[in-house]
This record gives sequence, C-alpha cells and structure tokens, in this order.
Amino acid sequence: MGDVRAGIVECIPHLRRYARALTKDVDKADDLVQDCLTKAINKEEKWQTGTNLRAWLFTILHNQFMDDMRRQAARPTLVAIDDNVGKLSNPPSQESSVELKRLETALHTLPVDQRVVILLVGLEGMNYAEAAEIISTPIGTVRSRLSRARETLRQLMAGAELTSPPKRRPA
Amino acid sequence: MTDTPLEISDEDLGAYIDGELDVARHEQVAAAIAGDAVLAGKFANFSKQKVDLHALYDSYAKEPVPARLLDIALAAPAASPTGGAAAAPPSKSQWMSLAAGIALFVAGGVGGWFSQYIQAPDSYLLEPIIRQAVLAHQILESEAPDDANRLTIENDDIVAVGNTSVGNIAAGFEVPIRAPALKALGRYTPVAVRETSGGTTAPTAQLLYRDVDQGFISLYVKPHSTRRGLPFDNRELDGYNTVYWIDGPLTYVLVGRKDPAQLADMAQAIYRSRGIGETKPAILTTE
Repeated sequence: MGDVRAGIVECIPHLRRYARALTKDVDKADDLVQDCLTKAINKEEKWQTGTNLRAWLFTILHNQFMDDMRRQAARPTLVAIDDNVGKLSNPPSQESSVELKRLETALHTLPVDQRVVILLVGLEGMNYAEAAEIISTPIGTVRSRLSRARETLRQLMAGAELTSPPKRRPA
Repeated sequence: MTDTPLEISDEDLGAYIDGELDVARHEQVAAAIAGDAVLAGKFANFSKQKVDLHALYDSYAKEPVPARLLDIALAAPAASPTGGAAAAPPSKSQWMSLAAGIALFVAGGVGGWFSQYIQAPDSYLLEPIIRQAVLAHQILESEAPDDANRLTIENDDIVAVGNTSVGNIAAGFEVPIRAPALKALGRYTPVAVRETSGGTTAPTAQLLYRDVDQGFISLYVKPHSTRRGLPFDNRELDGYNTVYWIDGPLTYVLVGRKDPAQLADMAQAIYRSRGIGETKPAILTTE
C-alpha cells in the first residue's frame, strides 16, 4: 500500500500540469486534482499491483473533469462573450511568450475531446494505448483526434480565422 | 518496388512524431519528410507544438505540491468505499484508528526497527506535516499553560487535562493519554496536550513540554498509512528546530527552539520510552 501512496504522490505534479492545461485555471486545476486524489485514496483497495498507476490516476481525473463539464453544461450560467474570439487572427508575435499565450488560447478553442488527447500525448507523453485506456476509446480514435487537433492548432497559429466553439448562453 | 510516392497522412505524421509507427513505416515517413518540403514544414510545426506545450505548462509540474493535495495523498485509507472519507474531517473512528495503530505499534515491539525500515519516503513528503507541527507548536506555546489544557501529572501519567480527569478524556481524545516517559532526561515536564486537526485529514495529538529553562518543546504525532520507516532527521523551520521520524504507523515531530542535538536526545528518549521490556505504552493507548 505504501508503494501506491508513493506512486500517487509522484504523479501529483503531472496531474497538476495536465489539469492546469485542461482547465486554464490554477485553482480549478488543483480542485480537480484534489477530487481525483480523494477518489483514488478511497478506491485504493481496488488498486491492482502491477497495473499502470499513472493511467489509473489520469483516468480518474479525466472522468472527474468530464463529469464537471457535464454538470456545468446542465447548469448554464451567464457567460461573457469570450475575449479570445478573433484574437488568433492577429499575426504571430516574435515574442515567444506571446506565441505561447496564443497557443494556449488556440488549445482552448479545440473541442474538449481533441484537447484531452493532445495534452495526454503531447504534454504528458502517454502512448496511444494509454491515452485510449484513459478516455475509454479505441486507439484509432485517439489517432484521428490527435491529427485533427494538430492540424487545427497549426492553422490557428498560422493566423487562420478563429472559429470558436459556440458559447453557451442562458435560455 | 515502386517509385510512386507513398501517401503520408497527418495521422501518419503525428504517429511518426509520437513514436507510434513500426520500423518500416517509420522509415517511409522519414524518407517522405526528407523529400517533401510541405510535409517537412508540417512535421516541424507539429513537433514544435509539443515543445511549446511543455514550455507552457512544465512550470506547473515543477512547483511545490500544495499541502492540501499532499495531505490527501498521505491520508489514512478511507473507512468506506462510498467516497468522501479521505477528505472528511477527523472523526471518532479516525481517533480509534489512531489508538489501534498505536496498540499495534506497541505490540510489535521495537526490535531492530532502525535496521529494517524498508525505504524512507522523500523528506519533501513530510514538509506539510513538519509545517503543521511548527504551527501547532506556536499556537500551543502561546496558550500554555492555560487552564483548559493544563496537565496534572502523576508518575508520568497524565491524570487530568484542565479539570477533566483521564477517566473522562475520551470526551476530547477518544482514548486515554500518557506522556512519553522522559524521566531519564530529568528535565522535561509535560504541561499541555490537545488534539489538533490543523485543517488536515487525519487526527493528530500534540503534547507540550516545558524544560527546566522554561522553554517549550512539543511533540506532534500523526498517523499515516505509508508504513515506511524514517530514521531521525532534523531541519530548521521558521526559527524552530525540528526532529522528525516515522515509526510504524506514526509520524513524530519534535519542535522547539532547542539545539538540534538536545531535541535529538529527547527524540531518542521518546523512541526508547515505548521500548523493549516496558509495559507502558508511549503516547496514547487503549490500555
């Protein structure tokens, strides 16, 4: 059991990085990781030694994130028109920090299923099989989502007009 | 063989970057990139996306982990699979777990513990516990002696806390309490004790001693579940010296302004006080 706890602690920085990239908000990210850890500790007895602890934790976090998204969608709130809309049509800056900011904005215009796979593979270094396990989808779907995500990011970063996902407005 | 250029899709290119192609296909894609400027441009772009993602977010993986997250990861296992237990505040059942843990600790004896600890956890895992111990010490030091937590001691046994006799201690601590036997050092008198939660997820006990120089030293005890031993170690934090160790299911932190060597002597005495041949348990016991 001690090894599991040590493994969980070792994964926390990676969970925080992934959650931060997913949510774009430090506090929400840590709340997400906290929920993930609470569930993991409560399910600790179910952990099978020898299986992929990292994938298990990311699966819990992913499921929590998707649940949160669904709950949020079920309770639409007044959302200001996204300040980011149209920003990516500006030409890229030579300053790397601006470039990275634009990448983050672009990343968050991707559909969430594409954002998830590009972060799992591109940022967290998961292989396709691990990513597929985490999001419970076939490997082929991971490949195609990744491909679409990369191409969309490429176009956005090249200055293509942003087609932001429609913002939810109150009924 | 054919000279017809192979079709390289974006999926292929991505899989090439991600190392997901077999050797034959990998070589085909590499050759295609080398001979096609458009494909090479896209390859460079996709590759840069990965680099930029790390530039954007890697700093978050290098930050110190917030204490609230470490607390959960190091919390006692949940009592129920229904969820929520790991984040629940200290409860009676947790206190009883603490008592059970100590009973186990006593029953197990001390034989060769230092020589058989499996693997010490990284000391940074203890950072939040040490901080809590120092904070708890500062609070109790500023309060003590106070009527509510003043101890009545008879032969090392705590017979009363404030106006509450040990017989009624269960109301506050759920288990009877005894101070570690520090007679051998001849200079420390336990003066206060309390349960502290400190916003953590596991119950803790804190025992404040006053030495002959009227200085305060506190012993902070917290259960944990990693079951990994940790030999004595020390560090200075916020002007206080600490000596900490993990023994069986409990983490101990001694806090004071004493010289680390003096704290280490006290730690040794506490460690030995529940030692071989002794019938008295050390900190808390279900008797």
